Amino acid sequence: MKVSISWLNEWIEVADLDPEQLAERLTMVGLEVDGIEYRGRGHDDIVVGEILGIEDHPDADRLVVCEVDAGTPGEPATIVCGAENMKVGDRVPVALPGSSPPGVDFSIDAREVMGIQSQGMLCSGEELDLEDDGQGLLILDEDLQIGDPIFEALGVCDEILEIDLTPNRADCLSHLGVAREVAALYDRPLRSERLDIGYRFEGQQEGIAGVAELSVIDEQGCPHYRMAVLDEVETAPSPQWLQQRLRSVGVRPINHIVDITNYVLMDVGQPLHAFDLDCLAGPEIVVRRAEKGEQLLGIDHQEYDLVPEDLVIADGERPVAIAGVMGGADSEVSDSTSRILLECAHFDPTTVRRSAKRHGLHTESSHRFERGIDGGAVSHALQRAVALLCDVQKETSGAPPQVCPDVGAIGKDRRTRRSVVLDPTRSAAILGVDVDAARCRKYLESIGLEVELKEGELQCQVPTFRGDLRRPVDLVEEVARLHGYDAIPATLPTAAVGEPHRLQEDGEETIVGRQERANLDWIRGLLLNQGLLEAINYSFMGEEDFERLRLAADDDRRMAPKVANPLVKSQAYMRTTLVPSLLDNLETNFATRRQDVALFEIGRRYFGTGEVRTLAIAVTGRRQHHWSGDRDWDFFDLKGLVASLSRAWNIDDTKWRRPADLEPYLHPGVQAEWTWKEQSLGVVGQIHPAVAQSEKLEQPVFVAEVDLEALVGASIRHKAVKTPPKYPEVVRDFALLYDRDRPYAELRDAVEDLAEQEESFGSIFEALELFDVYEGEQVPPGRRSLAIKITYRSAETTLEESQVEAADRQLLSHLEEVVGAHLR
Amino acid sequence: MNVEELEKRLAQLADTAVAELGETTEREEAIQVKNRYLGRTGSVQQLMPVMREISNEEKPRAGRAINQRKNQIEEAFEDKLDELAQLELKRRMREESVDITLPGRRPDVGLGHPLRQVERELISIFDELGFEVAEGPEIETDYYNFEALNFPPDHPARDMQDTFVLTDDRLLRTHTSPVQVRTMKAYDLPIRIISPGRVYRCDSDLTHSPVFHQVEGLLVDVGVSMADLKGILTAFAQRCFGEGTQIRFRPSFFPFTEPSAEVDVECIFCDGEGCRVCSDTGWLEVLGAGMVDPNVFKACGIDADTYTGFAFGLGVERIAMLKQGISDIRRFFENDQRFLEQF
Repeated sequence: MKVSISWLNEWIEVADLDPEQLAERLTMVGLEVDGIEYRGRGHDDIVVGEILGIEDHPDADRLVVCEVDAGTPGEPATIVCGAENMKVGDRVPVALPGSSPPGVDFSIDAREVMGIQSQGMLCSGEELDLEDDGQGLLILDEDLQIGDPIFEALGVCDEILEIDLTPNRADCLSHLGVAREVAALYDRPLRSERLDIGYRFEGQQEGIAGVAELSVIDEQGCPHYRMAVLDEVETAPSPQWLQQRLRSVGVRPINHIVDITNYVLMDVGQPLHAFDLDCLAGPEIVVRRAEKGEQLLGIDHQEYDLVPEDLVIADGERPVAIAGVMGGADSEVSDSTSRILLECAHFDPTTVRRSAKRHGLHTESSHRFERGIDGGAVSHALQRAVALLCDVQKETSGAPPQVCPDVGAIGKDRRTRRSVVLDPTRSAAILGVDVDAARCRKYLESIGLEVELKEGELQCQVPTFRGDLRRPVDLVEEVARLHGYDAIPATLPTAAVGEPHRLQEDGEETIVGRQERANLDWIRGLLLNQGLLEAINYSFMGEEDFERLRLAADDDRRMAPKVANPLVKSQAYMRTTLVPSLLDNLETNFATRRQDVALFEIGRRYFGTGEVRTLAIAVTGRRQHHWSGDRDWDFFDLKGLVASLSRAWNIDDTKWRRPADLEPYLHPGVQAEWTWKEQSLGVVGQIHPAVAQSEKLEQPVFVAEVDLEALVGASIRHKAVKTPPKYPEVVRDFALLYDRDRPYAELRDAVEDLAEQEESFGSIFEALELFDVYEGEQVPPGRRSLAIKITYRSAETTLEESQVEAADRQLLSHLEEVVGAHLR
Repeated sequence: MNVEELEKRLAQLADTAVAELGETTEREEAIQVKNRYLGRTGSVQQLMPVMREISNEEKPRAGRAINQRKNQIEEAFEDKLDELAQLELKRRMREESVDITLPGRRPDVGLGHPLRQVERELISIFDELGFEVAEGPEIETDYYNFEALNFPPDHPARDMQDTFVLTDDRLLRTHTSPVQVRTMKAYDLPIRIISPGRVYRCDSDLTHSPVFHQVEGLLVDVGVSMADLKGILTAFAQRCFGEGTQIRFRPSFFPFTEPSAEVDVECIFCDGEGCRVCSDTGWLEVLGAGMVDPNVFKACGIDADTYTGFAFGLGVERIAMLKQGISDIRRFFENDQRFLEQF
């Protein structure tokens, strides 16, 4: 919302205030001033000049050479000019050398134009940013003083405050509203005489025929509708003062009728609409809901398909406006308009908002109706507009229009003031600062409330323009605002520190335990310490990501929650896997010529059934890079890293297996599923060669995706600690010949099974370690050599050689029998 | 040979032996020298028959002389060995020496994503101030994200937050405030929580990201006032931005708080003097806050006449951008290692 200080000054004395200080005070009272625009300031070298002579340019057909008195000492200035609309004796704006007219992007120098020295520039309205379309020079009034700075002479110097209004302060969407706020702030009176329009229109209805019959069919959508009719209208450009007013707050002048509706809107906050009465069909105006299939061509020349929820203004045949949002092009006021119907109404905020949203429109009018206008001032605004139309037309065309100020009205101005009771002690308790009843009363009266003190309570009558003040707590905020938020002390709450919260029986858990947070931090720390970097990606994915991962048609991950209004197509779904994001990150880094990438992300995956906290990892290239030798990331690095995560939750018995359903985006021979009690915890693998090809990955990439919720589920809170053994161990190494294609896990399981089944072996077996895998010339084809280390130990005694030998024999024969392994 | 001659001979032998030992440069060589003199067939041993020629009275003197010289050689030998060992040690150490200016194997250890670091810092500050952490779903219902927070349907306040919609009722939460509601509905009072997490708004430019992070706080109890809110946020600002950091409350509007405030923190770049970052105001807009609106209490089944509370919210990206001098919010989500490595 742009607020002109000079306009504001018409409502309240502000000319003496420093605009910056005013802006600061408004900001501190909740009307945040984002910036101040200084209009017409700093242009003292653009002045009023008089044309003393005009001669053709000797060498250029379209140029003339003017002698200009710009009030500067010495000879008149010679200025070359291309305009044609001026004559000797005219006063025109002169941009002297060194000046920078605000409507152009260069500065003026004395320079030669086709052989003639030109000492400045004569300006059009456009070049001074005073008009949109400056044909020829701006011809000034004769009574302007030669040599005076032009903007001051025209009275357009101004400061414009850009106020970022919060949606609750609909009352400040006008100069009157801001003036009220200033009145309260500075304890100054409003110039209330300005509220007096100076016209009384009653009894002037005769002589206007064919005036519309009004019916409001939807009173819920339109509690108050009021019309005036003006005949013998002569559409004309608005006078300068009106144009400047509108221009200063960013509204483009069109013609005096439209301009006046806009002016009243900016002045008192009431939107109005003017119809060309002769373009309306039939003698009626109906405020109703649209019928199915009806359309409206808006004044923006867009066709709008109306729906039965839209509230419209219709003539005898069709809708001519979407109520409170936009008028129609067919009944728009034009140069040939001679009769207008002026609408001033109070539309329901929700109805207007829904229509505006539905049709993608946001207008000055809808903005105000949505937030709520002053239901007590509708008639006044209409009268104001009519009065202005009379005055302005008298000014521009000599004769005022015929006026029928109240041809029809349904509903009336809101008179009743809302009653709200404020208990000052309650206010003090909420604010933590004691503002006594007298002060509260003073503050509330300063913003227009009528206040009566009864038995310690303040009985308040809220004016109709403050629709946001409904409850006692709303008044508490007003007291706080006007008392000053700065005056509230800073104290610390005494209660509740460290008190744990108890979940009610039927409640849903939101509080995250300290331990769980610590575990997540531990995981992050572990990965960061392994040299991985932490990524954070958007939570979105696109249709194409399903294809990138070669997901089957029935894959659950294709059931991703869909965003109805994504910013881009590639963000149309919520992530059901974090892998595509990490693949994108690889590409980002490859593009910077980084081949070594190691990233992880902890984020959520989103399913119809809920959100799953997930860890994803992607690594490629060198894991270690040093002059002494490099080492590349491989599958086992990642498998080992993932396995170590279980330490955060004390989970012992996780397992690895080849997935029953292979991950389609992973290499079928290089992928493993991590499980706990048959429940999947995650997957680790190498990117499938086909995916690698389509992703243009030139080196192996390893990824993992781990379900952190499942890990939490598997966690053990208290783990029994084993006492360090007292007796020494005996260690045996065996090199075993083993089928190349038989998984090592079968051998490991066989050892563990034996330990479980055979007491004699199990009681002294402590650990199995694989320490070498060899394939090659030394072993027969189709076989490989596994070197394992078996640790024996007894809890009760030092082992004897014979015991160990017996266990060895038991082990070897078991392995030969069960997995076909025998000593090399 | 008499005893004097023997002594002389021994002394000669010992001197030569010591001299010879002195010239050796290797352990083996020294052993050979020693054996040549002290061995079973060594020079000293070869003098033993002479003992017979010495009178019984002189024998002890001769014996002492032999032992003395033997010891002399022995000592010289031991010294030599020590010396050689020292030399050997020095040589080995010289060999083992490395160019210590070559780069070490340094694990690339970082502190994690800048947003996560700031989020953790915020959590730990509020943890110290007695707040627990609460979380909720990111895919929310209209009820939790708006209605229960006193955004009636069709209220213009909803325009303050451009919403990603999934279905008629489901949306991506535009703030972490729904967690306030979920927590108030589920837990006994008093409540003192913060709620960090991802939030979503359809907006994307230098300072707006469709996905960003918030930390929201909520405290509900008997007798909580706006002054308490100021106290907590002052304590927060001083921990987050440095001791003595001032804050300033400005009236504002949020549907779920009344009164509401924008909270400015004294500019950390110019200490409030005014600079480019704070647009010469001396203040940085960092938080939104206010007293919990009675309508929110009503939606959560809390008696607004007995309890009061405050809520506040801040953007993690905003703070990270301020603290780390980052001007483009998109940097946080590109995951360019050249960026991430700096943290």
